[in-house]
Amino acid sequence: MIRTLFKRNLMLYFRHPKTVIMSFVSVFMMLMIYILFLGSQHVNTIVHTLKTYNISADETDVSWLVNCWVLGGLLSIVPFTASRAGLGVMVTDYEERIMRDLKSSPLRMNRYPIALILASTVIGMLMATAVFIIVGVYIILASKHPFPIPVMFNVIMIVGLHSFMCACFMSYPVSYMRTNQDYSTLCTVVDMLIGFINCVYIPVGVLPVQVQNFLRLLPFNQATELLRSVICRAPMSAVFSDVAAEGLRYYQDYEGVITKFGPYFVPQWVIALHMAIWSAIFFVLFTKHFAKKRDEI
Amino acid sequence: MDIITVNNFAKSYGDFRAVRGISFSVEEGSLFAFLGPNGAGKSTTIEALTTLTAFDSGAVIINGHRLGKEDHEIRKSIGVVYQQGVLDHQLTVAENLWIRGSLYGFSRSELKRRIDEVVEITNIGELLKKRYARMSGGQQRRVDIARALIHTPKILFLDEPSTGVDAQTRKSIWEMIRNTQKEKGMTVFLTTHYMEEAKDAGKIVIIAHGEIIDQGTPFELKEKYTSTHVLLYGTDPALLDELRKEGLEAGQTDAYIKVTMDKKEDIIAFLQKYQSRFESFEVEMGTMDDMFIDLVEREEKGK
Repeated sequence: MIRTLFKRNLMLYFRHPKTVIMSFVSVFMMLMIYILFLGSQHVNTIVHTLKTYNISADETDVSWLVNCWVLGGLLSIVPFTASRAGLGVMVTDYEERIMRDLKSSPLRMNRYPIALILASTVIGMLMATAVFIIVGVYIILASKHPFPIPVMFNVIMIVGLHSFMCACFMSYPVSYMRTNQDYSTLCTVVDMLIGFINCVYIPVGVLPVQVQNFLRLLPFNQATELLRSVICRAPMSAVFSDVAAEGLRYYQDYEGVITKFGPYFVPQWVIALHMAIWSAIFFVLFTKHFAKKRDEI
Repeated sequence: MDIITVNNFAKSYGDFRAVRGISFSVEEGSLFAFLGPNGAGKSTTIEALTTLTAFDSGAVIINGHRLGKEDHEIRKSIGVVYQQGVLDHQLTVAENLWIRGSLYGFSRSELKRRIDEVVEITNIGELLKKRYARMSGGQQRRVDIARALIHTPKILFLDEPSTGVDAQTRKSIWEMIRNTQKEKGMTVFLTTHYMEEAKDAGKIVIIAHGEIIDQGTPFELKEKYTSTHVLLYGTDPALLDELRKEGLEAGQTDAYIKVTMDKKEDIIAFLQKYQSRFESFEVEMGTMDDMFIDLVEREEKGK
């Protein structure tokens, strides 16, 4: 029955072109802003900073690095926007009273949240993979550097875990929404906040230290840093080949390409574990809330 | 044999007692009508009987299973047609039937056989590739019924199934339901605002203010709460006064004199006595609407 509901949820998401397009809109708007305005500024800042240390960097390599950095940010928000769009099925099920039909059929209702989370995770993964392919092709064409297979594999793994975490995390607030209007308001707020929390537009180092520390505690930000650390590895080596290790560390810390809390660097497995724990907590909260609403039809 | 027995069923929402300890039973294979004005407690009762909501007290047995304890088993034996369509609007009819049918755990071939059967019963073959959202209200209702019949339920709950459909569609829906009921021996539990739909019921239960105010066959209830009228056409001008002088309840329109009578013997004697004073006559029985309005009004006055 999980398979049936899972399939149904995927069909409902992809049958709604508006929902699919809306999952991409914020991503491509952000990408356009970067390509047209912020990208060149970001490149210039890095080139000039290196120049002050008498290091000349190849602008194409820096551009490659910045594009990869942007891609990391994009891949951290797509699972959020796409998976929460997948969760919209639950709101519609309540609003259009479809839940009545499901509840009066011999479906064990504890299967419903599982199918919903799985479908939303897959939606998040598929949409993020699509963005990875589209933006990845642009980067390859612009930089002439293909992504190594292990990097692609690593990115897909992180995106999978991140999508699962986003689906679990968003499922809890979405389970309180009873109308699509309420749900849209929630989405607007979340979409607005997530770009800031994940430091998609500006490097985390620009922010005050307390804010940096707070954001770096959040697994969403850590997911961004994890993605950037994997995607930016090769371009960083190219740009910072003549720079001392401290210089590279400073860049990584400032740009959020490595996860640091206070003076401590956080290993990747800790981030993965942290994401898994958040997923579990919010999944339990969601399923408990869903079960509590037994009489809501 | 009773397929549903309800004993002292009660449900409150906070301080508001929506249903106050009602008891009734439904015979297997029958058409049962559960009627009442808005806010009477009908929906609360149906929601509980279809396992959607919990109830406060009482004992309900549906198809041999105790409500509240064996809901999963009950769900296998009931089908529900709601007032409002509850299928996925963006999916086609075929997809909706496959998905909802899959919830009953049939094998692929068995499910296909069942879908083919309900498609034939409800005559929706030409709609299978159409999206649910793009169909008319009448077409959607036929698909809703197909969905409710997919697992051949022992009891079919119809929650105001004719709401929002035209008279012709209503007629075809009822033909479809009655034929399936006869063929499968299915019990139909009906709530409706169209009283005439309840006239074929084996039993009617009427609820108001959360209590059963009466129950019986349509004939029993009509006899109890409605009067029979004799309409006399082509009468002589003095007849109306004469009837009134005799103490009969009579009135006049441009077309006929209307005399209210209850007993069959009185009507026969009356017609024989005055047969030379009118050209033709008609005996008009009380309608289900008359019965319902009279009963509910009496209840309102009593409160």
